[in-house]
Amino acid sequence: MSVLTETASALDLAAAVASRRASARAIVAAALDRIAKRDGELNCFTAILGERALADAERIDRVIAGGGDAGPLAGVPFAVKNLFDVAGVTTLAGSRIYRERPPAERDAAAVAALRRAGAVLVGCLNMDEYAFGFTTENTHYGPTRNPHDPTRIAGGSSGGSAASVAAGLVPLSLGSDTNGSIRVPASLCGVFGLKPTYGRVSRAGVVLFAGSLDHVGPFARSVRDLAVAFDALQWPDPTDPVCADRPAEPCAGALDRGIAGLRIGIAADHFARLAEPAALEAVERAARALGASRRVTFPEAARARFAASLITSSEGAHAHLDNLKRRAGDFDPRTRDRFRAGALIPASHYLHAQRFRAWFKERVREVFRDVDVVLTPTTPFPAPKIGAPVAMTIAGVEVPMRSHLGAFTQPWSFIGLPAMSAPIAEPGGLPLGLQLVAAPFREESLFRVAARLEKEGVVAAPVASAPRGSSAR
Amino acid sequence: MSEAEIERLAALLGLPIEPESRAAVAENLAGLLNAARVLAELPLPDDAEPAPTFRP
Repeated sequence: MSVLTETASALDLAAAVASRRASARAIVAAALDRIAKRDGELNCFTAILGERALADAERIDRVIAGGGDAGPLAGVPFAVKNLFDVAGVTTLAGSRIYRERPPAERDAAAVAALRRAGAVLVGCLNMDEYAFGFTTENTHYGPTRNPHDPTRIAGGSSGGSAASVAAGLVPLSLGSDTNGSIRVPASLCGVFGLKPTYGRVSRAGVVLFAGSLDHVGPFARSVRDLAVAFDALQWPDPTDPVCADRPAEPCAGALDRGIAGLRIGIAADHFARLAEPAALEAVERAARALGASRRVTFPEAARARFAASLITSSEGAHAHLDNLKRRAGDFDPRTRDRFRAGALIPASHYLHAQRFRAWFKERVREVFRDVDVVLTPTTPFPAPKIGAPVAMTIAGVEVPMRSHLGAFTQPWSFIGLPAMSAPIAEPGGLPLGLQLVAAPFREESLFRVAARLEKEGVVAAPVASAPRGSSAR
Repeated sequence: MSEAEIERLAALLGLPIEPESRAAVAENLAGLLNAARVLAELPLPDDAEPAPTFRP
C-alpha cells in the first residue's frame, strides 16, 4: 500500500488512516522498520519508542473504528529533538550529564500538542550538546549524517530532526532554534523548517539554551504538512512565560490564496555577501518565479550577529555554570570552552547587546512597513564534511566555517521574526535552503509564498533514499 | 587575552579552568570581546533600553 512508503506525506497518511485505507499501526510499524534499517548509518535517533508508539497507534485505530475523529495528524509518525521532555524518557539535550536525570514526568507542551492532533511519537533525536552548535557533531552520541551524503554533516543543532525527515524515516519532526538551529539543518538536509515568531509556540518542557532567543518549530517535506503541524502547535500557553497571549492564527487554510497583495523583497548587503554562488543563485531563482526584484537593506545586520552571539554565549553559559564549575570534564569538548568563555563575558557587554537588540528591532520594523516577505539564502553554502577544518574561504575571505553557517539566520531569530527555510529544487548538487522572513506573527505570509514556490516547482523536498555517491552500510 | 587573564577572570566567578584549556577559552573570549567592541562602536540613543521587558 503506497502510504506505507517513505515518500508519503503526513497528510496522505492521516487521510489514509481517517478513511481506514490503512491502519495507524501499519503506518507506525513501517516507520519503525525504516528507522531500524537506516538509522544505524545516519544516527538520527537517540531513543526509539517502538512499543509505546505501536500502542498509541492502536489507540488511534480504535478511535477511528469507533467512528471518532482522531485529529488532523491521525497516525502520522513524528520524532523530536532530545531536548523536548517526553514522559518516561530522560531528556538528554545532547549531553552526557543529563543522562543522570530521572525520566521526564510529562510531555513537553509541543509534543503533547502534536499527540493531541493524532500524531504518534516514535523517538527522540540527536543534537549538538545543549543546542550550542550548527553541525550535530556530538562527541557523546556521534555525528548525525546527512542523508544526501553520509560523509557530510546534517547541520545543527536540530540535526537529527532534519535528517530523519530528509531520509523519509518520519514525515514530521520538532526542533528548536536560537540562532538558526531549525533553519540551518533544514537547508543542509533539503527539507522545510519553520522557526515561528518568538513566543508563538510554547517552549514549556523544553531544555532552554538561551532563553531570550529560544524558539521551537516543525520540520516537514511539504508546505502543507508544515502548516498543519504549525497550526497544531499554536495556542497561548501560560506555562511558558514568553508565550504570546494571542489566539492561534491558522495557516493551512491560506495556502491556496496565492501571493496577490504580498510585497516581496530580496535582502541585500549582509545577506548577499560571503556566500557561495549557488546559495545566492537560489534566491535569484525564487525571486524570478515570484516576480520580485526589489532589493531591501537591513542596517547593521552584521552587528546583529555579534550581539546575538554575546547574548547566546552569556545566557547559555549561565544556564550551565554550576556544572561547568563542578564537572567540566563531562561536557562535550566541542562546547565546553565556548561555554566557559561565555561565562566570562562582562555584564555590561551583555546588557549593551540587549539594548542594541531593541534598537535593531525598530530599524527592521521600519523596513517591514514597505515589504511583507524577504528572501535570503538560509545558509551560505551546502553541507560540509564531518570533521571539516575550522576555517574556510569564501569570496577570498577566511571565515569560521561552523559559526558562518548561521550568518543569514542569526539576525532574524535575534529579534524573533518568523522565518522558514524552503529547499530549492534540484540545486545541482547538495541541498540548499531559501530563507523566507516576515514581520512578527505573519507566518501566514511565509506559507503563502512557500506554497507558490512549491506549486511552481522551485522548492521541493524529495526523500533522500539513496545516498549520493555512497552506498548504505 | 592571556591565559593569566583567563585565570584571574575565572577566579572571580569561582570557575576552575585547567591550565591546558586556558588558551582555548582565551581564544573564544577574545572573539566575544571583539564582537562587543564592534557593537560598542555604534552609538545607541541614551534612552535605548534592553530588549527583555519585566512585567510585574
